[in-house]
Amino acid sequence: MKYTDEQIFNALAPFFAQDGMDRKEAIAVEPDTDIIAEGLVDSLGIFKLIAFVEEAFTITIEPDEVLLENFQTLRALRNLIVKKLG
Amino acid sequence: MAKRQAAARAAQRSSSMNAVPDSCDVVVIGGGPAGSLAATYLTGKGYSVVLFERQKHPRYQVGESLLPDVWKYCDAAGVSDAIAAEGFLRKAGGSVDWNGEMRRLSFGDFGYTRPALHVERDRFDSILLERARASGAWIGEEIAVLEADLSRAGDNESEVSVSYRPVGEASASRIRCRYVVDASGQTGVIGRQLGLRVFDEGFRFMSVWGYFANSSYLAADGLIYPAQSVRQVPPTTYVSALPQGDGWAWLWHIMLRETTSIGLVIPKAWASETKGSAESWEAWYLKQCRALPLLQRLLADATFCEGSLRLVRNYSYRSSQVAGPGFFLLGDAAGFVDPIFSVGVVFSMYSAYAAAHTIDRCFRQRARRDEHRSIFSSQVQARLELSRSLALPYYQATDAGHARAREAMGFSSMQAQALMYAASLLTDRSGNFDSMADSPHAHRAAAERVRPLNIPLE
Ligand SMILES: Cc1cc2nc3c(=O)[nH]c(=O)nc-3n(C[C@H](O)[C@H](O)[C@H](O)COP(=O)(O)OP(=O)(O)OC[C@H]3O[C@@H](n4cnc5c(N)ncnc54)[C@H](O)[C@@H]3O)c2cc1C
Repeated sequence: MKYTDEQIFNALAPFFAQDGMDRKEAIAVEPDTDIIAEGLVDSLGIFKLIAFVEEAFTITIEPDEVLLENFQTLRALRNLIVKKLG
Repeated sequence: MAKRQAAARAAQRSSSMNAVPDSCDVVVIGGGPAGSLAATYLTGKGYSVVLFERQKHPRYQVGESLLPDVWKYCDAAGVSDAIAAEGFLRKAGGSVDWNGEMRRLSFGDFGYTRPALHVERDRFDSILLERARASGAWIGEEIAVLEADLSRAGDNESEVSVSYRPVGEASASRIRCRYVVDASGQTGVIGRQLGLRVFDEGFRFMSVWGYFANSSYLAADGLIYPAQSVRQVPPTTYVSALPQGDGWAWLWHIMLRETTSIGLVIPKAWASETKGSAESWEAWYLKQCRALPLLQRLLADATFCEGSLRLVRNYSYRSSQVAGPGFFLLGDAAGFVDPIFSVGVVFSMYSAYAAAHTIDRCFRQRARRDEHRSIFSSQVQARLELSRSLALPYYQATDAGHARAREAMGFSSMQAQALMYAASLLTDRSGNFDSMADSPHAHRAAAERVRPLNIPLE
């Protein structure tokens, strides 16, 4: 299955509509928003995000791919997803 | 009336004698925050859970100062309303006196919208255990787990059997399960059985603590308030270095609703040098408490609660492995470093969440159990390394865990980093933080938000 970048970003968006962040104002998630620094994905969210991405794109993320460089922004995630879909 | 009471009593008796099930999906060892939350999360995902607790709640536990992060784990367990309804004291922040530098910080300034708490752990932990019970977990109090047979845990079906014994009974029984979660705190049933526990030579500390009635306290405005104001004016956790303590000994002062918890964290060598052989720990402890002028002021009208003294040595350890075929280690059973940054309970809750998530993934994707477990292990170990690297006196960036700690720091939000930096700055450990993060944001945030603490002289 081939996805356009836009399809990938759209498929990831619902994840950030979830609750549970201790913050005052909502943040719009752009492809280059630092989702870690902004607290949109915390130590607990990272587990959920891995499962979410695996299910949404029917891929498997290996333990050694759980790195900041793959999860810091939606663009980084998109690169990982595209690589996995090969 | 009498008849109804008798019937209720009989029902209660029969439910407490309800036989332990023969099998379940997951056995949880221990009913502290880690065990109770893991049980709640797992039943919420539809698994059958049996939790054994050696003691009967409410039971004593140290660790009364909780960071605002506890709320997100309580939310996920559906127990936040019950915690809020209990009316624990809200903690406004920290007041720190470190080698002559007096500074304070408040969580509100760091963007936290929900309060940190000072809790009586017997009550707090009971509420969490009751939540686990209400969620459908089978709770067996006063039942001690002896060991787990993991020899067939690597099989396709993951078969584990756990042996337990009700307190006061002579014979043990066994229960079958797929996974065992060790949340037995410092006891560390599985870690000890498998020889996974590694004591930390970097922390040669011990702790001695006790309780006072009627202590005054410091609030977020830097002023001293009498004990009676504690429900109206939220206290801060007051932390002070001990001047004679080698630069690394310190004490905590935590206001609770009826008493005040005051504890010393001291290098073992210093304690054994200064405590006379005939001197009791209590006498030594009270002498240390009197040696600090500010503490002495807070304790001017206070009385020591007789018999409340407690002591722990060798509390710093890690585990060479925090998960393996059929088992997961949580909270203190996985590792505990040092109380300086009050991360113990939050870490317990975090590991409970991570384990429940991972066990669910293992059930759903049996073929990928090893990968899921491996992600759990590296995340949990990295968190432990991060707390250790922040807390360690004389931290060396050449330390083996440094890369892991750096990675965990990188996965922290700016808000979390700013608070970590500020807390490490206040306790003379900012070099530790800087060796793990290049975070101008955290430096700026701390410069703006850490305030001097001026205690007016009488
Ligand atoms: C001096 C000191 C000060 C601290 N201060 C703080 C603080 O201010 N803030 C903070 O967050 N943390 C603090 N901590 C850490 C905190 O106490 C722990 O991290 C926390 O209690 C761990 O929770 P847990 O659920 O993992 O274990 P515990 O709360 O210890 O629960 C483990 C449970 O397992 C049960 N158990 C043990 N063995 C068995 C068995 N064989 N079978 C069945 N049940 C068993 C025990 O009875 C116990 O109820 C401090 C620790 C120390 C040593």
